[in-house]
Parts: sequence; structure tokens; C-alpha cells
Amino acid sequence: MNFTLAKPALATTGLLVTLMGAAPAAGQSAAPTAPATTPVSPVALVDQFETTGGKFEGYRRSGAKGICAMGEFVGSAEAKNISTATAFSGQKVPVIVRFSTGGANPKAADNAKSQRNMALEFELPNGEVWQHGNISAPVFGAATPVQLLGRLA
Amino acid sequence: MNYWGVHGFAFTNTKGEKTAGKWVFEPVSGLQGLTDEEAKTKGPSFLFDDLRQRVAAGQVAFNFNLEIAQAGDKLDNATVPLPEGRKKVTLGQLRVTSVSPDAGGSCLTINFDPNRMPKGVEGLGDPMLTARSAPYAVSLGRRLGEGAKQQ
Repeated sequence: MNFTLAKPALATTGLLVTLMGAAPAAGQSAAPTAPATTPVSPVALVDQFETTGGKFEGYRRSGAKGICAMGEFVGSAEAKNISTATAFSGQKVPVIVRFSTGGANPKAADNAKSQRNMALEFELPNGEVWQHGNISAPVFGAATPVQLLGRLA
Repeated sequence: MNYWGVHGFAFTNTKGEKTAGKWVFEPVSGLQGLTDEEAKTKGPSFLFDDLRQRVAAGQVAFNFNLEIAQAGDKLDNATVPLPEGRKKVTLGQLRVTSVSPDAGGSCLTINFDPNRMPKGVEGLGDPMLTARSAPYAVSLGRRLGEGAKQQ
């Protein structure tokens, strides 16, 4: 299959929807997409996260409470067939893992419902890294930065 | 607990063929959930205490699975999942081997930006993906200026 890459959005915006938790339930229609190029400054967005979620100096503005771990990844033969990425060499790859819960409060209680995150950094040969910001839902709550800002404010 | 990548990504092989889809990390030992009642009886740090125990017991591992998109599937909208039943391939297995003993550890000043991909992997124009880089960097800058802390 051939896939043409869309042009990257010009807006330097949007973010950390992890603060807002999971999205519409499956079966609901997709959020309408405002033009992706509508500018939202990253500073304004982080400011809004602080206003909405509270400001806890020194901590991440979302996913503030977390735990750092180490892991190892071994790629499959199938992966090697579809990608040249060295992550799939079949050799053990060290991975830094950060599990976190949504929100800005590093002392939030775990037993309140919130989104969970699993961030990863694959330490690849030749100084390459692969970073992930995976979340405990298949979708975000906003399709564009403008929508995200609207949800937070 | 499953963890999704949310955005559409494409993988390129040695022949230049592209495979596109959305990924999900699924626990090797199956999903574990708590009912609301059970959750309320747990302490405020039960998640991470529980994780430490399970890692020590070698019980925390995930299959890195890619759901493969078909022509016409939307891959550039973070609010639209792939339709159910898409073919899934396992790209490999991630095993968590140790947990940082305290609030230290290498994560403190790492900025996990999913736009940092190796050769052989690329994003597919989801505006929420590309939009994550700048605000994450702003947040990191603020944290470092304030004296970065974690946990």
C-alpha cells in the first residue's frame, strides 16, 4: 500500500491531552476538525494546563505523578519484514519506561479514576531514540490543538 | 491495562513498502481491572506499589501490537480509532525488568516526545501528534527552571 504523507501542521500547539483523559466512547462520531493550522501558542497551552490543573513547580504539567522503570524490547520477525527500524533487529533493546497517571498533581491519589500513561524511550544503536507517549485509551479527546484548548478553558 | 499510541504511523521496509496503522501495547498476562468498590479500598499509592511487586515477580510485559489500516481508514485524526477487527501483528515484546527505587531514576529530565522516531517509522500527519513537541518542550523548560522534580 502507498500512503502519502500529509504536510505537518504549521501550528506549534496542542499537547498533553493526557490531562483531559479519554475520549468519546466507541461508536460516537468523531469530533469535528477545526483547521489544524489555527495557531495556538505552546506557551498559552501550557499556561492553560497550569490554570486548569494547578501549578506544581518542578513537576510535569500532565502525568505529574509517575514511576520510572527499565525494560527491554525484542522485536519480532514480522516487525523486521515491515520496518527497517533498528528497534526490530531482534536483539534486546534497552527501554526507559515511565508509568504515570493523568493530571498535574504529583500527590494525586491512585484510586481516583484517571487516565494512565506509559511513556517509552527505546535506546537504539548509533544514538537513535524512539519515544512514545502511549495512553490508556485508543483516542484523544481533541483532534486539534484549538479543540484541546477549548476543552481545558 | 492496554496503552495505545493513538496517532497513525507508517513503517517502511527495505523494499520501500509502507505499512500504516495504529499501535497498542497489550499486557502479555491479560487485562486486569478493578471494580470501583475494589479501587476505593486501596491506598492512595496502590498503583505504583502494586507495579513494583509485579515487576519484581517478572509479571509485567507487553506485546507491542500494530493494527494495520485498510484503504480509507482515517489515520490523521486522534479522535478516530481504527475500525474493529483490523489485522493485528505483534512487533515484539516489551518486558519491564526493574523499577527505580525512589523518586529518582533516568526519567526526571526526559521529555517523552512521540515525534522522535527512528528511521523506518514516520507519523501520518495527525495534527495532535506534531503539536505535542513544542508544549512538551515549554513544560520541560519550566520544570528545569523551577528545579525538576518527579513523583
